[in-house]
Amino acid sequence: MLLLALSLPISLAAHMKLSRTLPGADATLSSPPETVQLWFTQAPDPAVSRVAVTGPTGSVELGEVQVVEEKSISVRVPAGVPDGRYVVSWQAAGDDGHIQKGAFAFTLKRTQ
Amino acid sequence: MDVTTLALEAVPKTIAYASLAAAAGATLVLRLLTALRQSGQAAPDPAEARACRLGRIAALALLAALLLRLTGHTVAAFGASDAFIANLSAMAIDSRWGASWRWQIGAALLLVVVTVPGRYSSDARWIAMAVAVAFCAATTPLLGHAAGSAGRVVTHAAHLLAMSAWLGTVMVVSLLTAGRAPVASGLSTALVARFSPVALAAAAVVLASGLVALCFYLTSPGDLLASTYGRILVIKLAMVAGIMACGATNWRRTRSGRPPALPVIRFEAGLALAVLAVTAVLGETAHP
Repeated sequence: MLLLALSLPISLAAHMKLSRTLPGADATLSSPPETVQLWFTQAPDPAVSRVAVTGPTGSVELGEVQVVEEKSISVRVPAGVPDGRYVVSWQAAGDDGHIQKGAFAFTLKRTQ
Repeated sequence: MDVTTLALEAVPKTIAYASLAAAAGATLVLRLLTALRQSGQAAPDPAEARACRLGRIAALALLAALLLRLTGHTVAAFGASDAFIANLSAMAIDSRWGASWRWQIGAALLLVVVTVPGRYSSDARWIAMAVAVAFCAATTPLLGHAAGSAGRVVTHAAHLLAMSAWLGTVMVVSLLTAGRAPVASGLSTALVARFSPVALAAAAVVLASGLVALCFYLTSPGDLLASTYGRILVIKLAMVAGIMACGATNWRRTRSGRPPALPVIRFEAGLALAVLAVTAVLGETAHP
């Protein structure tokens, strides 16, 4: 069995990690984002992926979580959200099924 | 990972590992008792019926632990909200790992079925139990660190099956030599003597597959002390060394014709349970 294991393709294991986001963490935007998109080091499963955004007026109503690229998920942000600081909370799981959770923030400050 | 999430994930996993080990141990003890009887070294003994009963209890406990694990995993992921049933469905049916959950639960159900009382010969019983235990061990790595790589799944399955046969038999022998009707000293001596070479082979597979798994999860030997994962692994290895020392003690005793030291078997069984708990925590810890 071990010889069989060693003969099979093996990659070094690791938990899935968040690699980048759009908007970026701690970014300041001059216009509201149409979507919030997150990229991971493995393909996230949409069935267990969740994204929530909280802004100056509380929780923001978002669209469904969509898988837009192999290793990325995205949610649509409604137009007309007010200026202020927004916190994006997310959870997702990669190959091993372990749920990873995290959060990042961005600020919306429209130019006059 | 916070303590609540760790408990929700690791406690059911510990029960599942211990149940699988006990089922494997009951299977092997049944095989050894049958062989002793057939070779004329032992008369028919109630220990065979007790081993069957332990196997049945272990199978039911494994099924319950898997259902508890699915529940704990769902609560850890989504919280204990009103949408629990929908979340459970997302986890067990819609998610990428839904099939893995169903395979595991199906394997545990098969183990329950083959341990149902009936008029089977001991040979038919232990063979059916061995097939079901192997199926359970093969499906367990489909969830967790090994998932997503055929090489890792095969390595973990070999590790789990060998560990279950080794530690589970120690646990079952510990139970059979305790209680109101313990097996006779002569039978326990013959049982341990027959088990020793099997334990040696199983320990060799555990160590070899563990070394292969180390290569998957550690980037350098320094990770053993520099990372949380490595330090938990060192604790596990120290406990396994303790179990090997206990096993060697009783192996020397039975080779010289003396009965096994029962307190040593009980201590070994306690260490085995602790190793399974540490293994469950390790499975929830991020690699370096």
